[in-house]
Amino acid sequence: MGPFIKSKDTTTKIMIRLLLSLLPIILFSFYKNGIIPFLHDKVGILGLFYPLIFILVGVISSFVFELIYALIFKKDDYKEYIKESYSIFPGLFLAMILPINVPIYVLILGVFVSVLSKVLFGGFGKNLFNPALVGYLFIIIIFSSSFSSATYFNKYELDTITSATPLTNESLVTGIGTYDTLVRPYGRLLNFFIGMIPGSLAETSALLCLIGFIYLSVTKTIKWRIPVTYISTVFLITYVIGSYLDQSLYYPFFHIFSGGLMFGAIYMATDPVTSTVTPIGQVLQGVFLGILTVLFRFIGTEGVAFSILIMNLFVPILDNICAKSRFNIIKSLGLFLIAWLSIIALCLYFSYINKGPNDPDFDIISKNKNGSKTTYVVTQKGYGGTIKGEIIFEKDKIISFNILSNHETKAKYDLIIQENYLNKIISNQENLDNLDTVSSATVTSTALKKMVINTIEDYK
Amino acid sequence: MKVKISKKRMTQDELVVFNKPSKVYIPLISGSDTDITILVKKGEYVYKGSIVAKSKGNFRIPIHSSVSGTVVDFVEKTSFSGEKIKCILIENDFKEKIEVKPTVKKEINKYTKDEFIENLKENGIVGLGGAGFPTYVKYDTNKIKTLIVNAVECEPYITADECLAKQKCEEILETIDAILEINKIEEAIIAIKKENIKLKELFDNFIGTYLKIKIKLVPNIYPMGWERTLISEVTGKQYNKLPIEKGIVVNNISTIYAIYEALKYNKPLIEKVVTFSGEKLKKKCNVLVKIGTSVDEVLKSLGVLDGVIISGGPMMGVAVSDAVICSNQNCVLVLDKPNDIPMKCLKCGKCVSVCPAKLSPVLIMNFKCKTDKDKLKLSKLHPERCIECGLCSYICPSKINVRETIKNKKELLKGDK
Repeated sequence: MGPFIKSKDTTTKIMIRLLLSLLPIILFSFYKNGIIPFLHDKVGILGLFYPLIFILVGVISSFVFELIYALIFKKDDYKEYIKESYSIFPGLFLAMILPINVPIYVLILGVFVSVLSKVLFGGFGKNLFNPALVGYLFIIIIFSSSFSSATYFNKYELDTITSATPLTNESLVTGIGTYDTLVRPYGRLLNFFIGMIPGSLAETSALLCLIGFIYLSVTKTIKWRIPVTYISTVFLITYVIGSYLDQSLYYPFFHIFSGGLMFGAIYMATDPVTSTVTPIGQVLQGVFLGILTVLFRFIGTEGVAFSILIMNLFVPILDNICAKSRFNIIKSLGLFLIAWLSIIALCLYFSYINKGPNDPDFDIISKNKNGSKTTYVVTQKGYGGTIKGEIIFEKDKIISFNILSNHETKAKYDLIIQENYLNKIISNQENLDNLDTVSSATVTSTALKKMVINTIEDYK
Repeated sequence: MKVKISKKRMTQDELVVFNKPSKVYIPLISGSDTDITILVKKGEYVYKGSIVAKSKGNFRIPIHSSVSGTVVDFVEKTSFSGEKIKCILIENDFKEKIEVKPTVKKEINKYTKDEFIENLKENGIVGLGGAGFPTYVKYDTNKIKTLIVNAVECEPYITADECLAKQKCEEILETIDAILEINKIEEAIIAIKKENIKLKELFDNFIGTYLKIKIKLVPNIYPMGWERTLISEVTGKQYNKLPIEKGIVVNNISTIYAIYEALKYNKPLIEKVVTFSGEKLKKKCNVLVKIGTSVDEVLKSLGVLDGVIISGGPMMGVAVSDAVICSNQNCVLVLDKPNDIPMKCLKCGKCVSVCPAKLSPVLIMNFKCKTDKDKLKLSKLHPERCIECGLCSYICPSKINVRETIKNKKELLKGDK
């Protein structure tokens, strides 16, 4: 039976191109998480190669688990089965989206769940959910402590960056954040683009993801419509919200460059098996992914993985409707209406109900609870710029208040120190409104007072 | 996504004539209609061009002998589309004797419309592009505004129309002009592929005096030759069932030339140009063959190596053995045996993006049809609109024969009705 000529492209070639496009990202991760800490004497030889080892463990365990499955359940043709199941990918992707300090055994357990989710649906080509993300979800639920500043930061970052990872940044939870709280702690926006920020092993570099996207789109390897509509939807919504709340253009760029968005949109959402096959379906899938991700981010959690898993569930429905809308575009109009209305609703909701603190000069950078102690890192606008302070509560009382950095005039700041004003604030913490300011340094002392008042308000 | 499949050029432009078959097997088929009345008996002597059979259906198309000689037997052979059909076996006496026929007008544009239609009907002119639809039926209306001459031949390898057009350029333009005049059609558009620029230049040399004939270049994509794609590309019009709804008639170059011979010499449809090509054929060329010639006999004369014999182009053709040349045949290929092993579908969606009929092949393929309710759901994906162009199978990276699965689903729904 014909056709008697076939295109030269094969599934295996598609997978090889996918691997090739991942290679620069893996090497960058090696550079950022291995070479840099090594050059700064933060880690030894093992630490140098640790990022590569971590990814390799994911790859090998993924292959081994599926091989075991094939040997047990597909005895007769396990060789054929393995040949066309591309079994390294779930483990590879899972390792790439995990923080570097996740224990190896957690990674292996996650890979096990990934492979399980794949084979339970009938193996390659049949799984409904993206296997790597199922493993990721499992780790989030069972080993939630795997996701904190402590696991995301490599040894070098741990010493140089005092803030949390960009999207676990407290100011995003309590409001929409500011340039000073979102971007400044990690340098500038360019670092986000290049990928020199804390984050999962291979998710940080937007630049390399974009290069991979161009390569994969030109070679017709991935469904390009999904990442394009996904990322632009996130950009659009955050642009509208940001500009309404007086944030400049940095704000939407911060959102599309941070977290797992770039990597997720380009590599995870386009997983051929778990994404839509119809062009209109791909556009809709991308738009809905964007809506979900923004929603998750504004209610305080990084939602790329959740968004993709949720949309996986709707892929068969989208495909069914969009296959019919190829004959008659009106049939997909309902879905587009839902998408547009959701975008408008999201923009309106988060623009008007900005959950930020009442004082626009105040911001919380991090909040860490450790037993009965809670440590805040906060900023408040002073006379010469923002003042960064650390406030520690124990049993509902402030036990320590330190200034981490300030841009106040030296003479004025010295006055504060002379007056022992910080300790005065601690001892008068119940009655701060009546505490006198320091004469000749009124603005600075008022700022410090307000900083503590605002923090106490948040603590309650 | 548009698929470009470059035409594998043959070495020579010459037209090889193969007019001495020892015997011919006149296929008893008209279009897809095999309900044919045989009008000759065993042992009867027939002339070249004698009517030997007639279709029973609505159109009553005559079928002619392509040689002079004796009817020997009625045998089964393989047709163009790969099915077994009945054929009249006629032993060639190589005398090429022609029955005396009424004289014809020397000027082909002096026919009245009725005479024109009668002539096409009597000479058994059918569409030579693929479906074999009787040509006179297309012209039996006053609604025609545009005649599109299809010189596209979008499948790789096939150059039969191109070769014929290069040889008979003037005759073809003359015929188009006559058709316009006889049927009072406003304009004719010759559609030529962009890659075939030389053919356009050739037509340009002769087109000067024919003001109503235009040439339009169309993209080198497959399936550009499909009527629906071609009409939408050339005129921007969409139609529901037949192009005549929009006042359009499409004929390909071979059909136009067959009309020329019918009008000029009263010559019935008994021979045509067929492309013989493929990696496993020593001499690749276009051959003027008599209808009913055994494919194997022609291949033998061209020197064939071991391979699969395909009737039709590489995309839509079928593997055949023991085949005869039918009137709507345009190509015979001898290719390497395909050895792709199908793998699991990864749902890349490429078949969806290439489908010219806007189907979603992967969804139709993976649709599990068990109950009648399922069938109703399946029918909403319109597998019956598949034109079997084969692009989905061509593009599939997992080398799955997607088209066959769509065809099966199509049959499943048909059986239900």
